[in-house]
Amino acid sequence: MSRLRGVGPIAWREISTVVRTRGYLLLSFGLLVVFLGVLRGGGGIRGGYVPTAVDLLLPLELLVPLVAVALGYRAFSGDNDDRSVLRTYPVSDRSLAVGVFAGRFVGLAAIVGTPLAVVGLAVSRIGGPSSSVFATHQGVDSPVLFVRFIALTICFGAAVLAMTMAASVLVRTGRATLAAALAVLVVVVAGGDLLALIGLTAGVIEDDLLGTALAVSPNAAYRGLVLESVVGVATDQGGTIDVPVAVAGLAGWTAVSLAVIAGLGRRTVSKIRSRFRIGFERLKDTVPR
Amino acid sequence: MAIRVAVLVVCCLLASVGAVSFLVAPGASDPDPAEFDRTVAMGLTLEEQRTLGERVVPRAQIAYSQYPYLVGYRGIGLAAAAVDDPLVSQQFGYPQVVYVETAPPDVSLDDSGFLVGEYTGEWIPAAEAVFVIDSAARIPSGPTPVAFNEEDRAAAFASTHGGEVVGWEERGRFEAPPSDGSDARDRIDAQHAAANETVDSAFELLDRPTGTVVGEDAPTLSAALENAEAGTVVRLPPGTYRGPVEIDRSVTLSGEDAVIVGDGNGTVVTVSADDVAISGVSIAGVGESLQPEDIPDEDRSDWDRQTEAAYGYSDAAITADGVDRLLVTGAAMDTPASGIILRDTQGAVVDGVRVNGTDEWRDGFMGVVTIRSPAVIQRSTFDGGRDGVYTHRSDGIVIRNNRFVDGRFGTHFMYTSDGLFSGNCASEQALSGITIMTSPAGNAIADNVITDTEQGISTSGSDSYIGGNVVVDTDQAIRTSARNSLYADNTVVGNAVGFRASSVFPTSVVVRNDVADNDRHVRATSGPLRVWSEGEEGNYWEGAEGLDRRYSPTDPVDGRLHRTEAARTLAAAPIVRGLRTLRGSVPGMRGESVIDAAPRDTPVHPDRLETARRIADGSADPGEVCAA
Amino acid sequence: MTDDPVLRFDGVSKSFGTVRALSEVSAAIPSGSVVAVIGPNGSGKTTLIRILVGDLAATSGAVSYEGPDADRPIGYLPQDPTFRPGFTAAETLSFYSSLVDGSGPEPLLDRVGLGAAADRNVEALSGGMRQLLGIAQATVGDPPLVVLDEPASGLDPNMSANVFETAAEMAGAGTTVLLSSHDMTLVEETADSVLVLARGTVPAAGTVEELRAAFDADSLRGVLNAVVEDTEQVAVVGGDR
Repeated sequence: MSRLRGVGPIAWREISTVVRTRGYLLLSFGLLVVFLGVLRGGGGIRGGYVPTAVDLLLPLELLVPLVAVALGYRAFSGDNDDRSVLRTYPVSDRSLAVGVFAGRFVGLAAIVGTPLAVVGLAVSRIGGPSSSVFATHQGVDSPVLFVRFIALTICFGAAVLAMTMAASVLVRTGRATLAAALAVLVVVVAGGDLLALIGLTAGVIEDDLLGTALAVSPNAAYRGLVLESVVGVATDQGGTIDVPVAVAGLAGWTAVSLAVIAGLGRRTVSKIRSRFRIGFERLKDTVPR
Repeated sequence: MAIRVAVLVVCCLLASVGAVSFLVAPGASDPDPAEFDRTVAMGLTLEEQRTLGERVVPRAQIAYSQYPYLVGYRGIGLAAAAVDDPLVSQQFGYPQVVYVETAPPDVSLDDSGFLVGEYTGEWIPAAEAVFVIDSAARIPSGPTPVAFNEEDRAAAFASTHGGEVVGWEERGRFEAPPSDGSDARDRIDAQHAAANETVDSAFELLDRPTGTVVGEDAPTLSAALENAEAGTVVRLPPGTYRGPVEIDRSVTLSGEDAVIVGDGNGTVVTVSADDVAISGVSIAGVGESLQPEDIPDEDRSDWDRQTEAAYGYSDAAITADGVDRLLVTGAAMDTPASGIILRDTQGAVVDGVRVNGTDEWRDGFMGVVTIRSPAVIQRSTFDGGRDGVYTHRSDGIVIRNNRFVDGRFGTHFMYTSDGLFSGNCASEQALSGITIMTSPAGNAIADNVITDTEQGISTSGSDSYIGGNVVVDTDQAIRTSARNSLYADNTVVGNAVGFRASSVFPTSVVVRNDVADNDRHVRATSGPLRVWSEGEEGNYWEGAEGLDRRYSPTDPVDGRLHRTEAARTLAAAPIVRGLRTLRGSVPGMRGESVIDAAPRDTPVHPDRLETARRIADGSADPGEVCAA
Repeated sequence: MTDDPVLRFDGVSKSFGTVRALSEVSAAIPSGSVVAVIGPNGSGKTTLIRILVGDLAATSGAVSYEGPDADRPIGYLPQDPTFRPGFTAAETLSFYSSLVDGSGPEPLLDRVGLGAAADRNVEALSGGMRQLLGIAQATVGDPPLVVLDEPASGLDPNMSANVFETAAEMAGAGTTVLLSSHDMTLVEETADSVLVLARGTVPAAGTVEELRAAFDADSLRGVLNAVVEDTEQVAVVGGDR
């Protein structure tokens, strides 16, 4: 355990930081308002757990990366960055990466998970027509499916959180951190699908490979897993995504990002960074003023 | 420190809950069968259910994955068809479990092939049951498979009543009549042809030699009728004649400007013979009583005795009971109660008749009442009173090319299946132009023009065809409450609500309708997702032209596209689009959802739509479109 | 004061791209002493310190800690310490303490005179108090070597004197203190030995007396001036190697 020494206090500090930042509380509340608004428009709550999940899937695909980026890019920025001092403590890079990520992840889970739990409770109260006239049954609609939905959402958020933290670590200056975080946001929200679309139109990706190709992109993986293990179970429609690849994809993005944060392969990272800089300089020289 | 431990424990707990959710199968095990009366049941008309009496129908129950109520089927063939129906799975999810009720151990068949016995209340999964198909067993809608829980019982039944013993996997061979409204639609031409024959046959009654002229050959109408010879005409010269009278022989009563006035205490003309015709006379002085004095106590079925008493025995201008072939043509009648009452009358034709009822519908009664009398009622005008035509158990009745004005219902179908309501005009009714009640089957409502009423067309039952109607300027144009029916080629313009979708278990097809200029194109109650398009074929919705995507008339944004241009901007918003896409592809209960997957860019019937628009804005008269 | 070095560095060089910040710098830091690093702005003091504490990797050369085993061998106060906002001074020190299984924050705060401000949020502390907090942080876990980058910056003369006194006390108790400063007077009074840094090299090192003698100066300031002049004469043509 000595390799992970210090993870506890570091993680706790992150959790405390998130808790003490009022903005995150407002963010969570704002999410709840958005969810209820979306559901009101779609009537999902009355339909049950699965229609509610369907209604929330799209807003979540956009909002969860937003929350993850908001949490992630501030992890090592400005006043939150005391790595120069931390290095003098018996805390390894690995501990720092894991600890900060764990703490922020708990924050993400709370910010995103609480409104979803509230919605779930609303469904259990309001949802599903009860009738004194007709005999009702549950259909294939159950809180288990909604719990899966929440779990997948949080896992998606974890991957994006890790990616954002990795991006902010790769970039040195403060302003660039925000830019890097936004770049992650755009890539996650649109990039994967765009690439899949281009690949499909260019004939590079075959139809039966689409499920696999999509699974590599984090948001498509999330979407596909929800359709497969939540919606698909209730409607008996499967095959929307290559499940093992999707799970591996999300886990992979998270693991690689954590490794980057921990500075593993720091030399590789430095090399990449200096190559980029050299290339950039050369580019600047060639462009006429 | 304690708080850190607590947080850690909570996190671990939640994480394990999350992980476990993927291992646990969702939902309880398959739902248990319910008492059949508590299912959303379908399969026989109310009349068929009532006439069953002590006999039974093999029943089934299905629990669908995205529909919270258990669906009951009277008729195993119907259930088998539903299990494999893609429209059903599109709207209700896949069938989680199918139960069938086993036949009583001592089941036998009566002369009609109906099953005699008692409902066992024993429900077993269909996969575990054995079925006998192609036997002599029947239910009112046709041959039926019978379910047993043991192979020996099934074999025994098959050896006595014929048929083959099969399992659930061979349900493709179960007999079930196609039930989607197309029968009703395809039958219309034949029904018109048969009605024409009936009319021709009735009009032959006018080709009789003149027998008696009242005032010349006989002093009074009653005297003339007493002495008239069967097969002749009793002619009424212009004038007023005293009633009430009874026509008890096969004569034709014919007159012009002749008025028969009753004593205000009862029916004016009573017909008790076959082959009677009444032509050209006017009738007045009808009594006001709406209730019978006494009903003949014959051995009729008990279940509708009350109904029959309530509706079939009022005072009337003309009443016919138990006769064959009756023609009433060119007559006019003023009545505070009913106009014409037909009871157990075959081959009756009401043609070119005018019935003036009361100004207030509550004070009056029906223009024509048919009790077990599938008549042909055509080219007539019904003004005021309560209902223009009221039918009771008159399967196959034809009501065409009439004009209905004012009153409560233009036409009121009760316990009547396979009827045809076509080419009529209805306007200004207090409640609706035509209403169908008691869940009958196979009715066709086609090519009518209904304007200025509270509800245009209110349907019920199943396997019906509602097509080619023009409904303008109502509070609610068409209720799609019939099941397994076809609503097509209607023009719905200028109403407060165009379509009202209220069926608890909607399985109808709604396509090729032109819907424009309504405050709300569709109003739907909470219920399953309803898909109103079939493959590439959808409806024309004003506001959805050129959309090139699925359109939802109940969506708060889509539903406003025809009312404000700004809605188009909102409709293009990413989140609105995204929500729309996902929502429309997943079945399940949700408030208010109707989807048209292939909305049209142009109307199906542009000329008719144009005319309907002009009726709506007052620049055209409904009479222009009306065939009546 | 013993002669065993706590820290030894040998031939340390650092380049940032084409700019050479440090060239072949070597020294040994004896334990239980106060060692001051002085030099003009831009001479590489902070760079050297960062390399010594491990916050920056040298381009070449070796740094080795040779002091006693400890959970936290080196304590560090950076030039502009950052403290996470939203936490009190006590909470901040508790956190760092928990990383080394250390004791509560009160003794640390008292030692630097922040006892009264223990429950104040760090963003509500004045610049000087932040500095004191930073010093307290540097001593968390009782590291044998405490490195302070300009510990007196932003402090009034009294507090500056306090800081240097504390440093001397710590040295007296066996902790080695390596600090950089622009305050020649205080350095002169307190430091046991001095490293003079100019243009990335160490042209002079030794006790205050030795340096004064070597450069024929009355004070350490004079020594510094002399060193700077010399270095500038040598560095005529670019001088980057």
